[in-house]
Amino acid sequence: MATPAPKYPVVVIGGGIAGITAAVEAAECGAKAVLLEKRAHLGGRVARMHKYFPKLCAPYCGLELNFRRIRENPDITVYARAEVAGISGQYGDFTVKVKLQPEMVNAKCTACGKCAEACPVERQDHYNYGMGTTRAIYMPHPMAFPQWYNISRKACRGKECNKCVEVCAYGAIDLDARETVFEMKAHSIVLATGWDPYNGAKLQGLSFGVSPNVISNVMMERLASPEGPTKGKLLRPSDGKEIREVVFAQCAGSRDENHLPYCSSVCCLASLKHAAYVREAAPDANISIYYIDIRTPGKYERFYHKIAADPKVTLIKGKIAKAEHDPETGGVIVTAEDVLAGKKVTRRADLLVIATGMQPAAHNGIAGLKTDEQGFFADGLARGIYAAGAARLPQDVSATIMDATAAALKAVYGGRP
Amino acid sequence: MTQADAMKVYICTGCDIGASVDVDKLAKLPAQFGVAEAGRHPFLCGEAGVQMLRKDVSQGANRVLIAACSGRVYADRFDFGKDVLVERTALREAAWVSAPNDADTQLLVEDYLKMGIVKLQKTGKPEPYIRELDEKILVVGGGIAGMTAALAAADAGRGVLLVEKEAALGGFLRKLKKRFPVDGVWEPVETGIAAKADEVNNHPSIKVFLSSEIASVSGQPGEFDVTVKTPQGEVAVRAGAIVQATGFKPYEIAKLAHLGGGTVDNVITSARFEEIAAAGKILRPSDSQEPSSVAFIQCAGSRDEKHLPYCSSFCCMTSLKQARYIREQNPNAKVYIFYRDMRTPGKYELFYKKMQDDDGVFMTKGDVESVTGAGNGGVEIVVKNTLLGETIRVKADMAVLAAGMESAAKNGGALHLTYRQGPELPELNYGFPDSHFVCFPYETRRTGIYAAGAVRHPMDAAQSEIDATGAALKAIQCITLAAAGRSGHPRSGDTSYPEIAFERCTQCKRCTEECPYGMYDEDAKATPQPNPLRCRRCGTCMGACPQRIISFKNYSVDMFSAMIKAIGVPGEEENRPRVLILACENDSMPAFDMAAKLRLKLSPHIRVIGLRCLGSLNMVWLGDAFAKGLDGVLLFGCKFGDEYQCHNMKGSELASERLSKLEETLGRMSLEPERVRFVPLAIDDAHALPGIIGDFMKVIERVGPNPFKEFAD
Amino acid sequence: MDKAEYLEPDLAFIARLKRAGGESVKKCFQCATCVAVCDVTQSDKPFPRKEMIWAQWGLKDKLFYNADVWLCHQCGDCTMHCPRGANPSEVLAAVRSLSLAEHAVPGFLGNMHSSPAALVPLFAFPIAVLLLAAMYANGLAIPAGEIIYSRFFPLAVIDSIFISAALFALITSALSVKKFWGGMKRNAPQKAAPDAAAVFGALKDILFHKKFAQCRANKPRYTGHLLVFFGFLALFATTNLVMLYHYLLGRETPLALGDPVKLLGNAGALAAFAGVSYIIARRLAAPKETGNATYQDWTFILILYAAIITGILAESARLANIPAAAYPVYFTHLVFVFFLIAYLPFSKFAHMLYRTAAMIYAASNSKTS
Repeated sequence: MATPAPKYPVVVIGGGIAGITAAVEAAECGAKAVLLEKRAHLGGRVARMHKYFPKLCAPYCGLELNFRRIRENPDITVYARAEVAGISGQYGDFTVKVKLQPEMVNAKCTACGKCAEACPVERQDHYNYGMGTTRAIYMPHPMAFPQWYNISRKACRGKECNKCVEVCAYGAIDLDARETVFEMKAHSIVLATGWDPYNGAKLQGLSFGVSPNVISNVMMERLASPEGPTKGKLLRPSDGKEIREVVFAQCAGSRDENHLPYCSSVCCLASLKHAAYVREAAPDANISIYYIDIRTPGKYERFYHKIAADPKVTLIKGKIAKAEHDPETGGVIVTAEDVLAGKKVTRRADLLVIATGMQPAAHNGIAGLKTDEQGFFADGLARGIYAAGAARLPQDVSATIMDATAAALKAVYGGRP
Repeated sequence: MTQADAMKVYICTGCDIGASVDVDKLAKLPAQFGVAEAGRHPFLCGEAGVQMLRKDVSQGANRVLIAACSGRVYADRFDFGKDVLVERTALREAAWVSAPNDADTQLLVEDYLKMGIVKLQKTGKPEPYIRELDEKILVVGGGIAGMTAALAAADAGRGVLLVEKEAALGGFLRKLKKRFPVDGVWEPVETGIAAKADEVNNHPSIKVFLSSEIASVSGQPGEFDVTVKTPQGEVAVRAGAIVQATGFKPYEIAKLAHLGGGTVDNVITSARFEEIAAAGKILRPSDSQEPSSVAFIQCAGSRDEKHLPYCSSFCCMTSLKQARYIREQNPNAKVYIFYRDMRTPGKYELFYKKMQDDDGVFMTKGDVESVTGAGNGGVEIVVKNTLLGETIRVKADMAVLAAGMESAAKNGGALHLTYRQGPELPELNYGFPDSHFVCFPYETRRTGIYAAGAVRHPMDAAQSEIDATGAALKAIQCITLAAAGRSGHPRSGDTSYPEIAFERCTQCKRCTEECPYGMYDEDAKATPQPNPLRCRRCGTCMGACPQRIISFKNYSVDMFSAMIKAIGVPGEEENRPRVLILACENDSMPAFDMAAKLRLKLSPHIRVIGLRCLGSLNMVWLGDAFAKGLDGVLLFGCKFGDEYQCHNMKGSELASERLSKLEETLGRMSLEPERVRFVPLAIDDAHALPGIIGDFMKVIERVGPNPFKEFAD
Repeated sequence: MDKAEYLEPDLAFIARLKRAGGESVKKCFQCATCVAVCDVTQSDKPFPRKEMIWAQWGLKDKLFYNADVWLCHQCGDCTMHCPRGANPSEVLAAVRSLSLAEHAVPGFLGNMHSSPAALVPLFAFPIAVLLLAAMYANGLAIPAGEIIYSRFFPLAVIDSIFISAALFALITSALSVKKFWGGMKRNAPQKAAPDAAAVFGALKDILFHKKFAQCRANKPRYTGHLLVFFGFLALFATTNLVMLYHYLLGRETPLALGDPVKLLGNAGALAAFAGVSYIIARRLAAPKETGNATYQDWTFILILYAAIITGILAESARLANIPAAAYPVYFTHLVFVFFLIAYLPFSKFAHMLYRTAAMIYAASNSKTS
């Protein structure tokens, strides 16, 4: 006697890989699913990655399949530009208050791109972590889904400019659009609000935000991507010079009680992956990775071997705690101890990539739900409310998908939280 | 079966289509196929456009060709219900990659329109394969993963059958004194395994078979016929989906002789140590004395090419936990931990932090050079490359080798599938059942059978619980989909399935061997026996069959042969080569879409046809293409091999293999083998497309036009 | 390899170290952030990471007989950046604290300086000696008339007591440093004997407070120590110059305020007073930046403070002509000064010996590497 399909949909908050997975898996079990994403497009942080470890495969390969499942399943409803303003009720009968940002570009958009060509305003490209600019009306990248443009309200000049409206042949732009608020019923709720990269500027002494040649791991993803600000070319950010020495500083802010006391679990693998990016984009560059422990559990060990075996890659135990601008070369001078050799070393690098960690993304409007001191949703939320992915624990894509699939089961059938 | 009179063709002139090609000319093309002139709209996906379509559908159109944008967008707007077949022809994308108002572009879109019409003509309506299905979930293995899966499925209202080979539930966790913590105070916690076993044993929806094993499994999702060997004899049961949660085996001490395992007294594995600790006081084996010092050696047999090349992932936390046991028992005891890397990811770092801050625990990174006896049962350990700056020699009363885990699947013998392709879940490496490792970790190569827990990948109990819960969902989902005749990953929801014209079967066994999912069994004469509910609708069997007797209602060899034959091939003198591109729709077609979005320019002489999977490539299409006078064939599929990305695991690999057998045939036809090329393409390789296609066009230029062009019709 | 060379962590030592201020030592996970941010460490076999693991493993010998422990100037940069709160600067300070007792010859005096209870006998001795000397000199009566301290304590008496104390200090210092030096040689054999360059190099660094200037976390330490250091040197020079005046020039104390030696003395006193005040104020106001001060740190600085203050008060009382205050204050002053000098190798004051020795040892080693 299978449990009958829930009366109300499973509402998933967050449209990254965790949220997408939870929604799709729940919907294919016969439940209805609603996916709420605060940005204009789905995909979260993984959509901003160039490749996944360990296969160095494109994140969109998996995402595309999920988007297909969403497109073709009438039981899944996606609300982009949606935030949750409040949750009340209990399992089987929640009420979720949803705030939709003004739909200045609506579903009539065919993504033809003429509006962006006409727009006179440039704004900082947040999709590319502040590197580069886009117009005020933009699509973050060509495969963005839902396939519509989006307007940055902060940058847009509104009707006094109106150029995008004038060139849009489909009537897809309404600069007068207003915010809408509505309530929906939910059978259960999945919190998949994801993570933010830890702010490297808080790491005193590493010169992040001071020297342009010090970048974070998430910025490296964008630099390596052909859709990124440099079209995949890896050149020194300060002056566009060739890159000869790349240094990776692991545990930048993680495993550190002054910052994030836990381990962010993916940064070792991410930096090994980035070493592979560098090998492709700048084949002559030397790469060194400074670590405390290399964490590549399970089958990931093989990936570690593969990258470490490359003669241009050196791994050194010893954390980089100091990075300064090098006025002589324009690069960065890093300092660490090569622990196994017992020597304090400095190295001149063209590019320093600091492996900043993951912290759970801030989630407004869902106040009242228990989080631990770091902001992760604590275990033991109420029945009917389940956390999945990086909102619950720092984890990689594979573990997140398992987590979200498990959350989908609990969400549909009311499992123990 | 074609119903040309009920077909309607629509051309959208928006998105640059109208500005790039002669739509008038295009609109008259359907007449060649007995179809009415195409309707047009400047904004077909808009409300008015969709209304127009709906009106025509309500007036009887049941085959609708939308010559507009890629099928990847607006699927919902162009969905008119089950009874209306819709085909999408991506004129927009074709226009975006070609020069506007150009003769070649016109020929390109005309061919696409013709191919679309032909395809739609050859498309039948899938009739879902509906059966009365059993909805029970069979869980093989009653450890933490198995029990979790069983309870999760049972809580979801499903009947569960749980088969466990030991006399009691609990698996490896039964032997633990405690589990390592995942949160909170960071002390080892009760395993809770007895309570869990009670819950399972007492659950009204779970039937437990103890001291039992699976003797055989046959059938398909929704209809698994299972024979369980119980102490009382064999029992036949039925299940809808299976979760294999048979767990792991600790790496054997005998294999760790290089660390004193099996040769030096008081050198034991962590599993054995846990047993001792669980039994009561920790005493060392040789003389039952309480040890005043214990040395833990990490990565014993793991991360080692000569033993287990992977990291077993739970050993660092386990040794920290066991260090706690010793220190609790004796506050004067010394515990050494020699590690290569301390792997306590995520919040586990906080347990490491806590265990460090213990006066009696001494840790260092290092390479253990030797473990030998030191008199009085003690153990001497020499460690090189330590953090202390020198090689050290340490004496301890006993040593614990943190030995890793091997999948229980390495020994086989869990499911005993009567499948033609083999009795167990296929593995890729290290003895773990294979699944799409990163993105679709549950999708094994056997539909309806899911691996969960340490059998699938080294993982600890907490991760196993999550994995098992997810596997329970997939099992339930599989049955739910199968009950409606719908496929699972990667073609979720597809209701078509292969149908075979057995009278022409030559029992060559290619379909039965090549199907990535083992869908076909064989009878005594090697005639394939399809199990449609195992099918994932990739079409590999269709591609493999040299007799071309396998087809889907809406996907057939004939369909693509007809499409190829619909391509217009200009005479040799026009110097307009024609290259057929067959591309996988999972990754390669989206790459084309992306190239279009980026307005990259591609040769106008290519004709791109999407396939469900490159595995469904039937070699006859190559023959058709060359017979028709096309000059070359480019095949795009996903990367295969150990780091495969193919969603059907082997699809593109099989296509590539078939190609390698083609050289001889081509040679006999006096066709250069360079005319056919397979290129692995990933979804983000859009930028590479102009180069790849450009290179191929140069090759075609070099080898010259197809000599059969003049004889083609 | 010799079977006897098993590494045997000394749990008792770890407990002692923790009690002496290194309670966070086990928290270190050997990331070497401390080394990277330390501006004072040398590059080859740098500190303090290796000291941390040696301390975690209770490797007493390596820690006590190690130049690096004394090369550390307890800036606190490492502690500030340490991701685990292991406080390396505190741990090394604790090692130094225990070192004083370890190296001390004779050992019992070293041990006494770790124990508050021992303050009683430690003070009792100079008080008794000085009382006896005073009784012998003037029967403990407050001299009448102009305040001339040599009336209370004739120079011959002072000199014999204090020169004996100084000789005692000198001999025991030499023996203690020899023990230290020998241990260092054992653990990290010298590449070459220290030559003039090594010695002068070390002395130059000390004089110019080079290491202090490199500290980023605790910059005020430079100023504080500079004032105390030079103030004390000035006072020491003053004392010796006074002796010279007496024995060579026949000039007697009290000196005129304008006398250059007097000026030197007063300048020194003021500088030292300012320096110690600053150090104490910092320790109280910003304990996190200055780091935990050990028992020995406090006893030394307070006794030094007392010596300076009593000295200033003695001069002030003399100038104000209050004999009833002046002579007792002077007496007290002598007690404190005796404590400082006689017990130099056993108290925190010994840092000047060990640190100098360590710097010379390290300089002679690194030169030829």
